[in-house]
Amino acid sequence: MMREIVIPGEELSNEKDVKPGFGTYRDADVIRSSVFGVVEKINNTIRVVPLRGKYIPITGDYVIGIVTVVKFRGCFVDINSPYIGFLPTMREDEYRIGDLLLLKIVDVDEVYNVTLNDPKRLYDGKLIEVIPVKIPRIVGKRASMLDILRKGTNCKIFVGRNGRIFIKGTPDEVKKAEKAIRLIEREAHTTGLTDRVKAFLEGKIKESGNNGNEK
Amino acid sequence: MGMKSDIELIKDGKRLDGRGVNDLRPITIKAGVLERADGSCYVEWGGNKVLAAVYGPQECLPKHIASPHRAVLTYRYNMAPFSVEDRKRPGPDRRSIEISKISKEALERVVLLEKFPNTMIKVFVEILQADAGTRCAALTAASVALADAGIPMRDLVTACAAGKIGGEIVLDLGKKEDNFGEADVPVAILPHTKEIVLMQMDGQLTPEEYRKALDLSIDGCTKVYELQKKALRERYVEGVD
Repeated sequence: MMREIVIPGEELSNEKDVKPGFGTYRDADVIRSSVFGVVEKINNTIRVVPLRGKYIPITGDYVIGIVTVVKFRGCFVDINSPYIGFLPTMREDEYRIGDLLLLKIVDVDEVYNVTLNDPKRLYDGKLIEVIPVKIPRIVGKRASMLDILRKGTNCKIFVGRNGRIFIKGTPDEVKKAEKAIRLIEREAHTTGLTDRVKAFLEGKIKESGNNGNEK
Repeated sequence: MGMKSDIELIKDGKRLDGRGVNDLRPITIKAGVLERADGSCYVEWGGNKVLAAVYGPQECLPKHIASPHRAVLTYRYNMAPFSVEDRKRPGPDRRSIEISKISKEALERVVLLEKFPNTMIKVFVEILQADAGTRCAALTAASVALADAGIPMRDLVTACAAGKIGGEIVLDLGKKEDNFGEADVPVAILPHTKEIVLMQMDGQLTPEEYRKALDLSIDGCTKVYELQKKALRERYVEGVD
């Protein structure tokens, strides 16, 4: 698998049977990158995973939101995105401004009106924010990285796709989990990260691994 | 431009600062210099010092300028009061409003605005020190900052000026050359398609001279593009196992 950093406009492929995926576009015969990120070629699709960027809502994602406005029919929720989420409720007094919720995005229309559902209150923990594009790396394949984090720190960890992470545990455990998450965020574009996170949680390396740090 | 002076701008093919006619001033570009901004870039281009910051896409405010079809791009070119020899009165003036407008239009050509309806992307460029060619340096910095913010773009925008001094067409005018020269042609292009997204001319050129100046500035842009590319790549050291 290629892991190469490209910038917008850079040529990725000129082969006819390659398909342009996320973060790319077709310009006549060639496929070019449209974002600053890391190239991934899976089967015949070439895509670029951005290194930074805002969270854009997608139906089916779980996100962590903060209630900002309460109306009769529901409340508006800040989901750490350019777009605001709407959570329909039966009564007016179900949620109050400032409530922290884990929610599911049930609908996103073409102008990004976001409808939320399935709310679960989050309390007694610490909320941290990371760059949203790093979330897949923090979760890992089939939640492998998240399992390592949970086992290594004894914390309950709730991850929103929008870059918000809620950690529940003793103060020391929470601190350790946050440091591990910051390590993943910093080194998300590098390989062999799982082993480094394991080593960090076992206390074998300090948090500032210098392999591929974001400067 | 056009000021009278007895300085000899070109002597034996060498310019005032020792450059040849086809040489750029020394340029350094650094991406990701600001902690709070979503994307940022710092450019030193000869005596120019330019800082660019990008915010967004974010909620569009004021709401009446939002479009359900595309994101709104704003561009603010601003010169610091201490950026020029005599103190500049702070705030936008005729010149900076014009530069903001044309630079915004240049960037609108590359940013994939239709991906983020009802939002806005804000670009701020501060000229900390000016030494001729600030609009080119500003646009160069702004496009690196946009890429650094992870905003999808067709290509980067690269800018460079050419002009005429002492009867010769030269690349990238310095301050004295700009003040006492005969013409200045700032150009911004998309490096892959060579599409021109910004072009202005101050002074007078014959059609042949103009064509030569345009070709020369496009050559200059190609060199600047390599530096932009390097700056972005250097932001992340590649992890090779």
